[in-house]
Amino acid sequence: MSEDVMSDEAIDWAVRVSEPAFEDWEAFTMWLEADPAHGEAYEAALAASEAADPVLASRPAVAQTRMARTPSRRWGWLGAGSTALAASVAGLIAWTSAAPRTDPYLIETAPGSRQQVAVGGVKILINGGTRIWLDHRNPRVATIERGEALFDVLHDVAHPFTVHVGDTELQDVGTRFDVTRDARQMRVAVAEGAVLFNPGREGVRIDAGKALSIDGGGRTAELQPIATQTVGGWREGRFAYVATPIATIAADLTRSTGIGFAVDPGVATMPFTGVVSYNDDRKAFLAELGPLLGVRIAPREGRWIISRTRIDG
Amino acid sequence: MHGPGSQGLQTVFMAHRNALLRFLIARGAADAAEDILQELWVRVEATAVGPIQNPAAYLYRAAENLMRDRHRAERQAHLREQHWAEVAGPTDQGVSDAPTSERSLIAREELAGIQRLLRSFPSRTQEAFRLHRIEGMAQRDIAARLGVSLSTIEKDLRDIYRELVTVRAQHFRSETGDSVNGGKDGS
Repeated sequence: MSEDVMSDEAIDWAVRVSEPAFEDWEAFTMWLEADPAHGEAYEAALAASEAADPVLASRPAVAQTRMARTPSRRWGWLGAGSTALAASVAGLIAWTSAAPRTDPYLIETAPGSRQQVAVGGVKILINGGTRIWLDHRNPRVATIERGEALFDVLHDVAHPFTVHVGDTELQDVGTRFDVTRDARQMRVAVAEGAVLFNPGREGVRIDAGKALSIDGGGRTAELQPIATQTVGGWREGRFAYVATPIATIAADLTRSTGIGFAVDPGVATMPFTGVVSYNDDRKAFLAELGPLLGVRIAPREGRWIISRTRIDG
Repeated sequence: MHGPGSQGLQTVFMAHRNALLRFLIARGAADAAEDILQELWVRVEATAVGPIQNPAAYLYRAAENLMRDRHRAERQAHLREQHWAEVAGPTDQGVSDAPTSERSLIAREELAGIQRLLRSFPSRTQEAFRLHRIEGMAQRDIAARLGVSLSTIEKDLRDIYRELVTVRAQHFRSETGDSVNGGKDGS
């Protein structure tokens, strides 16, 4: 069988199996068993179609994720990434109501700008370069797609406030905490009270005076002590670091100041300990930042590139 | 912790246990199939569910989702080893931005290429694909929504999938010098 014909067959199965009412599992199993290449072609078709998701979704998977995670039911197990399928499987359950339970809306800020919102007993100060989803029908949930926000939560035992960050869930226990998410990692720093990390799964409790950092792959997690007054310090242009990689600092600074930093891989993981201050004097800031961090900062094509200092002979 | 329907579901699970195992193996679970089946049951049991119209299909669907997640996780791990995720890039209009998912690991050029590809299709086809992928809508319902025949939608979706598969295969060939999909090198 030619590769093209097999690919077409695989595509056919990929489309059909994704249908909510698909029930021909026996036939699907037999097709998969007929040739190991069938399963590979099937996964290739799935991966290819999933690659288009970021471009398709003007409202990203959040809407379906909310539907899948109704308060008293936990659909996450159906497959955290299979959001569209989770929503369609819900249709198989007799008691699921047809009315939409969510009405999400997006707040997006440009780097260097901020926005404050107050919903349902929560004050949210949103930093720059941030995309955060809230919900008209559920004021006790927020989803951080990227960026940073400082949360001041009035605790309600019956309706805990939950922040979703990718596949993780943070639940307040009467708190003030800051959440950051960028391409490399997620951080939660707690100033007051405590936050439960993934209450249904790991259930790690992050108390005031602690910060949790998790890398993008979820493979390494670090719980560090922090000074509570440094939480949300970005509001005053103060950034306190302990052995923090330059790449993280650059992301923080771009988000908060609007200055477009880019980091050369050669210095990305270089650790810095100290405090960076920004007081709106861009010129002075850029002149002093390099020596402070021990790096070279030079403009190129509208961005500020952070790289290793030159060793001048 | 046990939902009202879980006794009946357990009976169905036991009746279909071998078939489900066979399915998982066919989907590429290999030696992990028994473990995955166990994981499936633990999760099904822990979830409080109401009456299910087709319990067997429900279990297969859960198994399929688990296998999709596993394959996706493998792909992400592979991509992470190959790409350097951008630190603080500007937000692109119209492109969703979830950094720790596979999305950030697909280079921006590849995403731009996919965007161009999708836009080369008529808007009805694009909408059909969006309803299919993002809203999980049945083809029959998509056809009704867009006012065309079911066979039109079936063709539309397969056309887009075919193009996306081609683009992805080309991307991997140019990136790694060989096909990730294990097939013979084409052309």
